Amino acid sequence: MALLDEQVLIEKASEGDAGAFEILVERYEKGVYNLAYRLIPDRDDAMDITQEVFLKAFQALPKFRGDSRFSTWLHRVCVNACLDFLRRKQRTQTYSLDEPINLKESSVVREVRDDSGSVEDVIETKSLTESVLMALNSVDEAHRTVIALSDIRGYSYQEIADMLGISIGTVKSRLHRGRMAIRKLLPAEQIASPVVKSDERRDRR
Amino acid sequence: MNCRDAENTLSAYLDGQLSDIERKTLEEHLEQCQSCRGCLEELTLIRDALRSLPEVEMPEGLHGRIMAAVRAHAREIKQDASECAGEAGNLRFDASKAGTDSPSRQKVGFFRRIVNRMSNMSARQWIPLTAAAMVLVMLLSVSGTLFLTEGGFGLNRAAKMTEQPGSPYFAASPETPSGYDGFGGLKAAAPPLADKAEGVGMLTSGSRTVAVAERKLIKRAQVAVEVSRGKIRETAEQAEGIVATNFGYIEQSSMSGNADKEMTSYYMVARVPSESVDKTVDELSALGRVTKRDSSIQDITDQYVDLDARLRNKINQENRLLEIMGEAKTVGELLQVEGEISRVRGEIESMQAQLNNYDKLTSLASVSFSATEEGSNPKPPSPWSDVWRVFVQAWRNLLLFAAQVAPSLIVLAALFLGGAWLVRRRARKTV
Repeated sequence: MALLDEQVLIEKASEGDAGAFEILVERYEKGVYNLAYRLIPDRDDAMDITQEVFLKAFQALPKFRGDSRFSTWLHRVCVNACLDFLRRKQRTQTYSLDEPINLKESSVVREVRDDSGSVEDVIETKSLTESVLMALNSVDEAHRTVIALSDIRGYSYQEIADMLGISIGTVKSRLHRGRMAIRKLLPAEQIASPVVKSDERRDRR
Repeated sequence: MNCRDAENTLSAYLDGQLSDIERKTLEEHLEQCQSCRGCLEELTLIRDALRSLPEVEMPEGLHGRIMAAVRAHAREIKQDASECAGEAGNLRFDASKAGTDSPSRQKVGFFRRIVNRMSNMSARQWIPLTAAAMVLVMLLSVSGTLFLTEGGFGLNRAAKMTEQPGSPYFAASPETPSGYDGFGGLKAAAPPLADKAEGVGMLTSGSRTVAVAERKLIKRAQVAVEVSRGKIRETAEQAEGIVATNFGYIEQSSMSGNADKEMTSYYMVARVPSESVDKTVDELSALGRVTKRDSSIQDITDQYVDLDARLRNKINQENRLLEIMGEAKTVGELLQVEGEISRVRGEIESMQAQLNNYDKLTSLASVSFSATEEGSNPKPPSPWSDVWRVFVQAWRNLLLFAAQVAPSLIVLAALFLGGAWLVRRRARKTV
């Protein structure tokens, strides 16, 4: 019934019924916001993106064929919006920190003060959940996206591949590399496994 | 199977995404490899932690913002004119409320917010705004242009007024000398200075000491009076008489009148001997109600002494050259010295001319005198008229500025509105 209900709502909404669409918004906004927030760990940006996602969804609703579930479709719009946003952000503030600043006669190496301390240092004092979250935020966006869709939103490899337009193999390797990256960032005590000797871990790092 | 291959399949194994064969191979490897088992355990821990990450709560106001944007769009689709007009206000209110509810919005730049707001506007909201902007700009330019012509005359008038002494613009009466304190002070200080200089007689100029009889002062005085109606000719004759009795002469004089050919003002510049300047000015001031009186003294003693010394130098040089010419043996030498002498002679003459001019300036002071009939200036001076005049002037300048800026404003406005419209359209299209 819920599904039918949703179909009716989608149909009404695609005819421009904002009231019907509001029910859908209420149902999915939290999930969309959470996904956006995981991909872009900034409250304001995530809010902007969430708004953008629903507006886009509302506008594009007549094009929604029902090939996938509405939530999946929404999440795809969300992921695209997030990646778009990150790309735009990168374009507007691209400063390579390694690139020397060219002066007239000499060049100066750019120096940036790091107030936050290294990710590893900060993680030391947190609980496992917090550490994992922090580590996730420092993983690069391609891997973060796959992790967010798989482990946080629970999509299958196939669904993720469809959503992102990449192959299953890529999903698989990105997910694994992402998780391994998180593992590297976590302090040994928190995921201490008795079978792994600490010196072995150091070697692998 | 080596550890690297095994490790790469661990995640998929964890998620149950391996084929049977792959799974069996991996499990066999895990049996033997402690390191990979550890890795698997850690990955499991991480995956579980990721899965159990708590959901964050929706920020307050976000739902309102989403729906405001959606409703705005829904309204645009419907293109229902009456509904649009009726609810546009509500919508804007909602949107702004949602905006202020969340403090985070305030972080977004002002300009970006305006652009966002504009791109969220429907065409129906857009058109009146554009129209209003254009009308405003055109009104500004039209009124500015009108005042440009009108105001131009006004400015000329104002400029004329400043040139004419005795006009309300120079309305400082003799009873309020503070306005011309500078002149008054100078005048008062001048006589003692002259007296003292006469006693000294010796002045230092550079490293040389030169004797001069007195300080060289150029005096100038200005008097403006107002006389009663019809008295202007009489006043002019009296003024000329005063100049004559003080052994001066009139350098320039003019009488002018209004459109009815009645003479209403008289102006002259006279030269009188420096000694009798004060007397002349006093007598001229007695001819009517004084509206302006000032005098200035320029001390050129330094220049005079300097020029005098240089002149003596040159004369000495000329004498030496004349001696040399007497000793000249060849025609070539003679010609050379002669050329030198003529050059020095020229300099001597120009210096003497300059000195003569200084002498004339210092011996004859310049006195300018102007008389106007009472009532020929329509507006009696009052403090309010000044305030009003400044106000009008300021307003006129503002409009002039607007008129000059308006054409570029129109172009800019058109560009800006067009650009915003394009941005908005592109934003719609990229959905």
